[in-house]
Amino acid sequence: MWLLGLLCVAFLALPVAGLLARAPWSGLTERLTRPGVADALWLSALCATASTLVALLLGVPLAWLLAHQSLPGKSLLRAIVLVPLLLPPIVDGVGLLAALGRRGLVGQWLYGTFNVRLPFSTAGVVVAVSYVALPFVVVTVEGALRSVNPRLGQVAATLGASPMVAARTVSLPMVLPSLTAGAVLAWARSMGEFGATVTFAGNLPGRTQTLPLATFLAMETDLDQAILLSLLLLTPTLGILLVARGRWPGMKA
Amino acid sequence: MDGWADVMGIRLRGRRGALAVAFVAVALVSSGCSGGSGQAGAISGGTGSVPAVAAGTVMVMAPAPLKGGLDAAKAAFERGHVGMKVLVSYGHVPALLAQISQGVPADVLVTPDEETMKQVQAKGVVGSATVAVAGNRLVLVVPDANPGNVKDVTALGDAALTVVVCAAELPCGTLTSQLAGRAGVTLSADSREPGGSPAVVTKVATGEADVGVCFATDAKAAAGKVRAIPLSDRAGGSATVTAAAARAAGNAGGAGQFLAFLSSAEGRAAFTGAGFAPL
Repeated sequence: MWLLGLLCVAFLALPVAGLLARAPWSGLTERLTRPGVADALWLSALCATASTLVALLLGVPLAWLLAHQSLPGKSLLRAIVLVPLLLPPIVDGVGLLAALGRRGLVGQWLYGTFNVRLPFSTAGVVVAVSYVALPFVVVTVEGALRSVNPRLGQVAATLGASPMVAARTVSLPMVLPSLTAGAVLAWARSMGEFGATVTFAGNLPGRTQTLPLATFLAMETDLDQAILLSLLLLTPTLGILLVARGRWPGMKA
Repeated sequence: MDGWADVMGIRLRGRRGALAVAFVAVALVSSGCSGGSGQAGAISGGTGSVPAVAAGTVMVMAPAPLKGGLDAAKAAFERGHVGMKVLVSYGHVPALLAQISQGVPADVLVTPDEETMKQVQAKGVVGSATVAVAGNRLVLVVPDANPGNVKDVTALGDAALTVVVCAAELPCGTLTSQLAGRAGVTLSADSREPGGSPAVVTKVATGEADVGVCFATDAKAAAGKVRAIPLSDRAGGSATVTAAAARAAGNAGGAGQFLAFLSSAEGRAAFTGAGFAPL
């Protein structure tokens, strides 16, 4: 068990070690202050944060419905939630174009009625990364909500707690770790998103060029720069994952 | 949580199950998010990213926009050289170079233009002898109905139109900048596509962009959805598909034979048949 566990950790950590070993540490400051790098990092952080909020706002209510209500075709609903994970991200982007693009199913109405156009805009990046991040919130939070024993709420009620008070003092503390885990996973996934973003929102520095897109393009001319940018991408994401350590469902710090 | 496990075809209970499902989800995502680099490793007719090299196998690396011509050339070559096999790995040139430097076997490298080949030569990856294979040129590409009423190259500077071009880091992006410079047009790009010429065509074909600049071959491949507006010879934007043998070729003899075929009338015909321009 130990051997396989260590093998797994090594397998997961080795590519990062490879990046660290190949990174051009000597020109670090010059490379990180090149034009566009700060813009791309800022845009990624902004869009990932917005997408996490969207994912919580839309994902938590659906998780609650799936956990507590008897809905027809629940397994179909769950399959739909997983679609963004099952498709290659580039195909996610094509689907978003076909739905929300200027000629898309809903997009042509948005464009015709409100003159709203998502592709090639920062809002489009938020839409693309929210799409791929949503399943993490729904899956994680629904799991937590289901594991809360409904009797606890009934006990709270017999002790005189109103439904709101019961939810706030009994249910919420129990699902909070999962809520945090889902939000962190959604944020991390959004930070690294490439395929759906490039397909749906395109690539323009300052408007839609996130850090993964800048990294991909750096590969065309300068592999060292690409390695450094990917480490720059990894730093805040790993940092947040580490800060959130111990808040995973069913785990103690 | 059991519901999720049902969907994924596994049955797990309780909190441990929840964790397991979360990890499966993460694994699924990481496997799917490789984006462009996943394409870079694709080998046509191969069994994996590093197939076993049989005797008489020529390993070729080339960017995806050359696929039409190169697949035809490969088929014609294999018909005329019984016992020899050509395996082509399509991907972005830098990804291909990184693969070569990491020991992925390659005998021949094909680039979409001469300039890229010069850069590859400067890195010492290929020898000094190069072979001109076929011509290609940039065209304006518009949706079939041409909603932006695009007539000529000045459309690329029109801020009212949605303009999509190749990323500046790619060969077609460099050529596009030269083209705009020569025409005296300041590019008003809404997106500089990292996916290059085929990605530009996709954005135009879906109606998302009013005008783009791509290689003529990619516009031809999407005929019916997009219309190509040719540019005058003076405008520039022409490129020569170029091939060379890799310095570290494991099958130098085979590489020589395939290069000789590419520069023969039959090899060039394979490319012109796929929409490339004759030299």
